[in-house]
Amino acid sequence: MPLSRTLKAARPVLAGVLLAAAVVACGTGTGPGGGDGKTLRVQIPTGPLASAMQQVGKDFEKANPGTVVTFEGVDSGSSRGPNVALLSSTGTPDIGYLQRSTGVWSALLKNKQLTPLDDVWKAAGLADKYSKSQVDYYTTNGQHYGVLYEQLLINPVYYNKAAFAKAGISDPPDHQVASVADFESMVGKVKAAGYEGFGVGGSSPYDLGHTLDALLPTAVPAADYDALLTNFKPGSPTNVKYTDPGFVKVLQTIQDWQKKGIYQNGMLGMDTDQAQGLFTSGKLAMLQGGNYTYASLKEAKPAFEMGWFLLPPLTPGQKTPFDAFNGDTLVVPVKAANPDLAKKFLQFFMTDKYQVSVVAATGSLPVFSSIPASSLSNLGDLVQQQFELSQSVGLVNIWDSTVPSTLGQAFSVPVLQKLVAGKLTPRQAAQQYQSALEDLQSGKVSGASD
Amino acid sequence: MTADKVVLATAAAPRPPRRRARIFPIAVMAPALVLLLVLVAYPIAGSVRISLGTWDGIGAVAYHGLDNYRRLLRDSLVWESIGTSLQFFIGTVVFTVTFGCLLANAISRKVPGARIFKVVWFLPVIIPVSIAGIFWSNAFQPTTGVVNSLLGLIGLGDDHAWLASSSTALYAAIFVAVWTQTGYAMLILLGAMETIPEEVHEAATLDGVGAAGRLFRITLPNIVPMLGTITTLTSVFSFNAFGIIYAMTRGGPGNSTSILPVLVYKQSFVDQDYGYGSATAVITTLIVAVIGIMVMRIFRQQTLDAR
Amino acid sequence: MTAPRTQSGTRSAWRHGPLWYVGYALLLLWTVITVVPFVSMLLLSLHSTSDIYAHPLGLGGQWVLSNYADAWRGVVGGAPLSTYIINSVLVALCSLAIGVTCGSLAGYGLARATRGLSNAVSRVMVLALSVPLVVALIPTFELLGRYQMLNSVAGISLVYAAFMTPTIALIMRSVFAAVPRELLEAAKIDGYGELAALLRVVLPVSKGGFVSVTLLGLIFVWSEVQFGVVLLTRPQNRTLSVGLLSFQGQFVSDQGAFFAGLVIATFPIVILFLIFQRYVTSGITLGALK
Repeated sequence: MPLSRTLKAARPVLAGVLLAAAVVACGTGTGPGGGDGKTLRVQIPTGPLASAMQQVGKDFEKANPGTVVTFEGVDSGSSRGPNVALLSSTGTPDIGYLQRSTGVWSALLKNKQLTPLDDVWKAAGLADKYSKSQVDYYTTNGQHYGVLYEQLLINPVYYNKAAFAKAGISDPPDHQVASVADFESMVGKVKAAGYEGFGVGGSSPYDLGHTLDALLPTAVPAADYDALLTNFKPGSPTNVKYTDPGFVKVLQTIQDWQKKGIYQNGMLGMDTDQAQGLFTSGKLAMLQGGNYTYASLKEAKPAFEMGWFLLPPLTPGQKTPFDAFNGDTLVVPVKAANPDLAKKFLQFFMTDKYQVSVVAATGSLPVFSSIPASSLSNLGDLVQQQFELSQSVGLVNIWDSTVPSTLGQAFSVPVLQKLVAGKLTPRQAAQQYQSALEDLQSGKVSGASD
Repeated sequence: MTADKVVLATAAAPRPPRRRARIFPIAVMAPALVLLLVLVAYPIAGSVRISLGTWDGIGAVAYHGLDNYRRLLRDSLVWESIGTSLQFFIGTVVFTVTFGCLLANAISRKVPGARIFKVVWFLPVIIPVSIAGIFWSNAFQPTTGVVNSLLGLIGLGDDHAWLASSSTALYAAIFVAVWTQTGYAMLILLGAMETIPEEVHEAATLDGVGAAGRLFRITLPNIVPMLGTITTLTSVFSFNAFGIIYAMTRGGPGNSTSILPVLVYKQSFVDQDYGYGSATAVITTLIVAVIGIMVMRIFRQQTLDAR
Repeated sequence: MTAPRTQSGTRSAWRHGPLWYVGYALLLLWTVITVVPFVSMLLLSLHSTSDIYAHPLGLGGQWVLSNYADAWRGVVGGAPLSTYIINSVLVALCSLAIGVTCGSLAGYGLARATRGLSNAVSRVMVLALSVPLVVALIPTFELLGRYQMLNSVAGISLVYAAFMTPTIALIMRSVFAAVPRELLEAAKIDGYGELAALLRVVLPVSKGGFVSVTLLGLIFVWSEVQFGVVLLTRPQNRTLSVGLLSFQGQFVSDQGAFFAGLVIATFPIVILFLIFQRYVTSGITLGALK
C-alpha cells in the first residue's frame, strides 16, 4: 500500500452513493391509505382463494366506476400476532382477514378496533342465511363485527384411484370406512402394491392436529364433545376430562398407526407441502387434507384420478362426520381509511353468486344454507359430493381451532409429535392436555376466550 | 493486499488524538450510538418491561410483577427448550470450531488447492440461512432427498427419515448450522494462524515434529485468543439460529428442535402472549451472557473483538 | 504480534505421511458436502416435478429451462420472485447506506478517540453484537408498529442497520487505524478540517475496507429472517429470504420451479462473492484481529 497519496479530487465516496440510493429506496415504504373513498385495500389469505377474488374485485370496480380494489395476501405465518399490529394501525387495509378462533379477533375486539357490521348483515340478509350456530358465533353483545365467508372441512382423505385399483381396493362406499381395522388393512394392501400408505404433514403446525380432530368426534359421546369445545373457560364444569377413555383412545390410535407403519416413512419430518408433493408424484396412496387442499392437488395435474373418504369411526357403527372450521372472517378495522366502501364491498361479496363462483370454486364449502347442493354441480368436482355428504353425515366444529392455542393447535401438535415418536404414552399425553385445560380453567393462563 | 492489511491492522493500535480533536471522535460516533440506543438498547429495555406483564399486541401492558418468570419456572416446555438450545449450542460450537480449525490449518499449511478450498469452503456462509434450511429439509427426506439418494448409492440405504425422529432431527439441524458457519470460523482462525511466523513451523519441522504435533504445539497455543472469539461468535449464532430451525422443522418433531428463539416466536406471535414470550427472551439473553462469560474465562480473554 | 510472511513454497517433508492422505481425503469429503447443495439445486431446477421424484439426484429425465420462468412469475396470491428480489435489493441498499455510514463514522471515531473512550465504546459495540436478536424482537415490532413502519423498507432497514453497525464499526476501526498518520498531518497542513480530512483523504485510501464491510453487511441482510418474518407480514413487502420460507407451499405442485427459485435467490450473491471474495475474506480477518 503506498504511503502517501496525493490529495487530488477525492473519488466518489461509496457511502455517499449508497445514501443517495437509499433516499430513493426508503421513499417506497407503505404509508397509511388515502381515505379518498375510491381505493379499497382488501386483505385475503394466500392460497387458491386469492386468485379467485380478483374476479370479485373486477366486478366491484365495474359496478362502482372510479373505484380501485387491490388485494393483499396474508399467509398463515403472519395471520396471527403480526396481523394484530397491522389491523390496529392506521396502515391497515380497509378489509382485514382473520380467523375468528384466534387471539387476533379477541385482541382487536377487546381494544375496540373492529367496526360493527350490522348494516352489512342486514343488507346481505346474513342472519337468515347462516346456520344458527354460525349466527351465535358471530354475535357479540348483540352486534356483529365480522362476516364468515367460507366453511373449511379439515378431514377428507384424498386417495390415488390408480393405487387403489392396483392394490385391489374398491372405492369406499359413501366415502366412509367402517372400522379402524378396515382402514389399516387398506393401507397394508397399498403398501404391498408398492406405495407409501397414509400421508400426513407431520412436521407442519396443523396436520397432526387435524388427524386428532378427524378421530375425536366418533371417540367421545356428543355431549362430551360439545363440552370439550367450551370447558376451557374459567368456571366451566370440570366433569369432562382429557384423561377420559375416549380421548385416550384417539391418542392411542394415532400412536398405533406409527407403530404399524400406517403413515408414510418420515411422516414427522415432512411438512404439508412435502407430503402433498409425495402424493401428487404418485408415491403416496392416501393424503390427509382438507377441502382447501383439493385445488392445489388438482393444480399439480397428477397422473391419476383422485377420490376421497373420511377416516374410520372409533366407535363402531357410527358414521364419521365432517369437521368444519367456521372461522375465516373478513372484518373492517376501525382505523380503515375507507370504511363505507369496505362495507359496500362486503355486501357485494356476501351473495349466493360469489359463494358459488368464488368460494366453492376454490374447494371450500359455501356458508349459506340457502344454496342447494345442485347449484354446485357445475363444478363437477368433489365440492358437490362433500357438500352433499356434509348434509347427510353432519358437521361438527373442529376442536383444535376452537379451543385456545395454549390447549389447541400450537400446544397440541408438538404433544402429538412426541406421542408418535414414542416419547409419551397415550396416558401421559392425555395428562398433558388435562394440565393445559386446568391451567386455562383456573385462569392461570389466559386463553383467547371472548 | 490481504497480507498488507493484516500486517497494518495488527501493527497499529488506536493513537492518542491531538489536543483540539477531543470532540470530533465523539461527534462521529454519535449517529451509531443513537442507532444502537434506539434500536438495540431501547428494545432490550422494552423486553424487560413487557416481560413484567401481559400484553396482547395492542394497548397497554398490564403489569403483574414477576408472574411470567414464576410461570417459566414450572413450564416444562421452557426447560425442554433450554435443554435443546444447550445441546444445539454445544454441538454447533464444538463441530464448527473444530472443523474450522482443521480446515484453516490445512489452508495455512498450503495443501494442494488451498486457494480454491478457501473460497469453496466459505460458500455456505453467504447462502441465506433460510434457503440452507429449506434445501436441507428436502435433502433429508427419505428416498426423495439428495442425502438419502447419495447414501443409497454407496449402499447405506436411502430410507432414513432424518427429520422424523426426535434425536436425529436435532443432529440434522446441528449439521446444517455447522455447514453454514464452518467457513466463517475457518477464515477467522486462518487470519490468526497467518500471524505465526513461518520460521517457527520450519524449525519444528527440522526438529522432526510431525504435522499433528505442530498443530497442537505451535498453531493452537498461538491462536487461543481467536479460538475464544470464534467460540463466542458461534455461541451467539447458535442462539440466533431461528431461520435454520424455522425453515427445517419449525421446532418439531415434538419440540425436539425447538431452541429458545423458536419458542419465543411461538409464545409471542402464535399464542399472542407477548409478556410471556418477552420473559423467555430475557432468560435467553441471560443464558447467552453466562455462556459468553464462561467462554471468556476458559480462553482467558480480556475483551472480545470481532464481528 | 507481527506477521512477516515468508513466501517459501517447498515443504516436502510434511507431505507424504500416510495420515496425510487420509486427512486430504477428509478435506475433499468436506468440499463435497459444501458443494452438494449448490450443485443439487442447480440440477434439480432443470427437471420436471415427476423427474425430480424419480431421480432425486437430478441426473435423470428430461432437462428443461421453463422452471425459471415459472419461478420468476410466482403464483397468484403470493408475490412474484421479482418482487422479493426488488425488496431485498431496496432493503440492502437502504440498510447498508445507513449502517455503513454510521458504522464507519463510529469506526473512525474509535480509531481517533483516546484509548479509554475507544475501549469503552468498543465494549458497547461488542455487547451489542452479542445480544440475541430475539430479545429485541417484540419491542421492535411494537416500536415500528407505533410509527407505521411495519411492512416498510425504511423500518426494517433501520433495524438491520442498527444490528450491523457494531460489526462495521469494529472492522473499520482497524482499517482506519492502519491509515498512515503522515497522511492526516499532510491534510492538516493543507488546511483541511477534521471532517474534510476524513472525506477527502482517509476514505479514498480505505476503499477496500468499505467494500469488505459492505459485503459482510449484505450477507447479513440477504440472509436475515427472524426480524423479517415478524416485521414484513405482507407477501408484497417481503425480502427474498423471508419470501422463500413460504415458497415451497406456493410451488407444491411444481418442485422444479421451487428449486429454480432457490437458485435465483442463491446464485447472484454467490457470483458477487466470487468476484469480490478477497475483500470479504480480508474484511473478516480485519475484524477479528486486534
